[in-house]
Amino acid sequence: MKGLKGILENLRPAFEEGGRLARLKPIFQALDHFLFAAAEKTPSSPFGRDPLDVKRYMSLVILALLPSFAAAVYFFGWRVLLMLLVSYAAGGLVEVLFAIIRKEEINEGFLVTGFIFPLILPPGIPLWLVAIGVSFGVLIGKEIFGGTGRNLFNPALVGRVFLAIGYPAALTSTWMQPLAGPWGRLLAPFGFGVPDALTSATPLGLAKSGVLTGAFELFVGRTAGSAGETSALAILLGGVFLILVGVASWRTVLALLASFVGLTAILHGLLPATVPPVMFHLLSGGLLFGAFFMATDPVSGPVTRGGKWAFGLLIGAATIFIRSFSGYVEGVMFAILLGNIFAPLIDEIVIRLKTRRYANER
Amino acid sequence: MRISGGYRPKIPGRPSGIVEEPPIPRRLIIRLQRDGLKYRPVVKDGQSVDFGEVLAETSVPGANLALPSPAAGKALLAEEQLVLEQIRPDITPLKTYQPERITRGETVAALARGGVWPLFWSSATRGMPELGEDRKPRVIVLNVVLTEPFRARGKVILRRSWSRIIQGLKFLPRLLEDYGTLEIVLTAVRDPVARMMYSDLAGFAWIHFRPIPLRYPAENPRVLVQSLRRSIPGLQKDSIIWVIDVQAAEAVGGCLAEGLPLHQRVIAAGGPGCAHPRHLAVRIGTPVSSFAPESPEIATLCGGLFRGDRIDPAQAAVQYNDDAYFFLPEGSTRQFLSFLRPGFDRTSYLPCFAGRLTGAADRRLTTFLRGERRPCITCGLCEKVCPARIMPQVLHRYLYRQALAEAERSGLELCVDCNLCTFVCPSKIELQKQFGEARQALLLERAEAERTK
Repeated sequence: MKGLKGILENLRPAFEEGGRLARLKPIFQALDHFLFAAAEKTPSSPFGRDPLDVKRYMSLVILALLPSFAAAVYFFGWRVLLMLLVSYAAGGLVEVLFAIIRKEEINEGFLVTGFIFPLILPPGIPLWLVAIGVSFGVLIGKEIFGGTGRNLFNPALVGRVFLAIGYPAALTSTWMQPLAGPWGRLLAPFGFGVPDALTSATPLGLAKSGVLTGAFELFVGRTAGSAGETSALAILLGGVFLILVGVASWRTVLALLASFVGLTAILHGLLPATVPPVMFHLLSGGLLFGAFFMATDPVSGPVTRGGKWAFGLLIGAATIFIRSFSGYVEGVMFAILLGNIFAPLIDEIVIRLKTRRYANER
Repeated sequence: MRISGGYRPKIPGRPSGIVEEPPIPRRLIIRLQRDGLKYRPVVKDGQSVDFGEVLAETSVPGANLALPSPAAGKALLAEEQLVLEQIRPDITPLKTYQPERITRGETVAALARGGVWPLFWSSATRGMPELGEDRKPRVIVLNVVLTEPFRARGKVILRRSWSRIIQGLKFLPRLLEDYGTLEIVLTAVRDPVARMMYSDLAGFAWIHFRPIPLRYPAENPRVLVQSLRRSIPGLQKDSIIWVIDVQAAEAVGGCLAEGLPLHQRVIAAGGPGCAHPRHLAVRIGTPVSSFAPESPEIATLCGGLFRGDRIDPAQAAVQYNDDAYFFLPEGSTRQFLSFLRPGFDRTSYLPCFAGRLTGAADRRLTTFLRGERRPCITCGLCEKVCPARIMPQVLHRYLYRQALAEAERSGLELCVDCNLCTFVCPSKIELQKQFGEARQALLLERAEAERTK
């Protein structure tokens, strides 16, 4: 470690102002701060600070995503790892370029976007589409607005919607059938199991034609679907952890799931033919993944605590309406983007309501 | 009583209950400034002074406030301060009073003369009560709870000088409005100190006890007053509430019943950089260097963890309203892959480190910022921790785009300066500084409007 620190200190002058590589300072800085905690001192009171920083915050999200990632690799093979690497490489390039142009530090937020993105794609998707999607998401969804913290929309979802609209064929025909058996697809590269079979039927798609997938299959995740979205078990493991450490807002998740379950129950009661039962809807598609990992994105969600309730309610309701009464079988991503659009408005209302009370509190 | 938000971190270096009494140092240093008021010396350079003699004065509407001499000795004038040398430790009491035979005017004058008056806080001025004011407080709050890490603990002082505090409390009805009450704020814990208070004060109908959770910033006067207004239904919105702490009550007793003007303070010396965290009873003017660790790797701060300010221990001395000094190691080593470690030696507001599981204290607290500066990610921690129930993240957003008027409307001035939002912010934004500057700008703007009207 001493040696590593020495190397960094030797390199530092080259990246400082006036150095040969001063333009690439964000890259050096990111590496430096990744390896060793920052050495900046507190300039003003309070002079001691809480140990939590954005790096820790974001790494907890990635930690919570690991079960879903592991499930994706298990069911759909090592291809998912490849998708992750492509996503990090392509999105990271955009992020680094913008950090250099803006002369700002590279933000950790990208590590989460880049991790989520392959998990919400069909596992059989061509890798070049992963690269295009994540670049578009990071560029248009985030950097244009000023980078992490200033984006209106969830960047991973912007990329996902771009692919869904721009390359509909590739996105609806590249689902994969997971393999049964204790090893899943883990040994596929060594010639075990069958070649990758592409299909176009996810549980939600099948439901449109009246075939309901079993609840157990849905819960474990042995169904066709987006790489990280199929296993409810893995999502719950990570999602509950994220709520316990306080990074994800339980308010958003609870409001979202409550409105979704409530409305689905009502709609199923009224129209049993078009709307499958609650349990099926809850476990299929990207609902749980979206609820725990994307609706809870603090940046693109509402700023205020009260707003999180309204935000969750809106997304839950929008999801079931899109799923039931539109041409799309899956509605979560559109619902969350819709929520992102409404978040500033919700905030404005909450702030108005709250500040009205302040007049009495002088 | 309830308080919203708040947080009390667990950090090593909590001052123990022992109160040491070090000998009086050879020199005492008195700053000619207190609570933002400048005092002008009334003694000549080289003059010898008695214990309790007025060293310096300042005029405020209604009367003169004085800085009484903490010891007998020779006064030397210097720039903005006064040095006492050739100290004699003997104490000769001045005039004493009895609570039944003292008028309000005499009480106020004696407290102003004895250096005790500025220890009072009034909801009308949000600071020292005005001396000449006719409106009396409806309620005086005696606050026993000091939750800010490393500050002198109320119960330690209670145990040490309970009889003098009771003496002081008996004078408070002279200051109160008719049928006004004294509300003693303490933690609900039924420990021996609380029992002692209950039994000794059981006969006083005008004294009530109000338990409050042990969570910073329960002791903040504005938080206390708001919480009190919510829990006493009969309290008018504009009725005046004064807040004093235990040391102020002790000083009232000392000043009026025993003829001892403010000459001593109990201070806490603690913090992770302190070898023996403890309390000290010292004369006012005692140089900080006499108890501070001598090491350039340790920062000395005056006040508690959240509101304390960096000072130079070689220059500073204990002043009339100080009650805490703490010592914080200057950050030096950069931990390898710090954010990936489980963190058994750290604990944070969110349960994000393993230290929360084992109940460990935050043993890595230094003067480091402990993270990189980032744009606000609207995690909402500041809103959760805010005791004033405002939304710091919203104010930050307004002030970021210079929307002062919106910030004003969104409760900028309700901020009670507890500094918690700045403490918990994972993006390491200097919210407190930003809000302070904005309020300053707001005052300027108003003064400007007043002038042109």
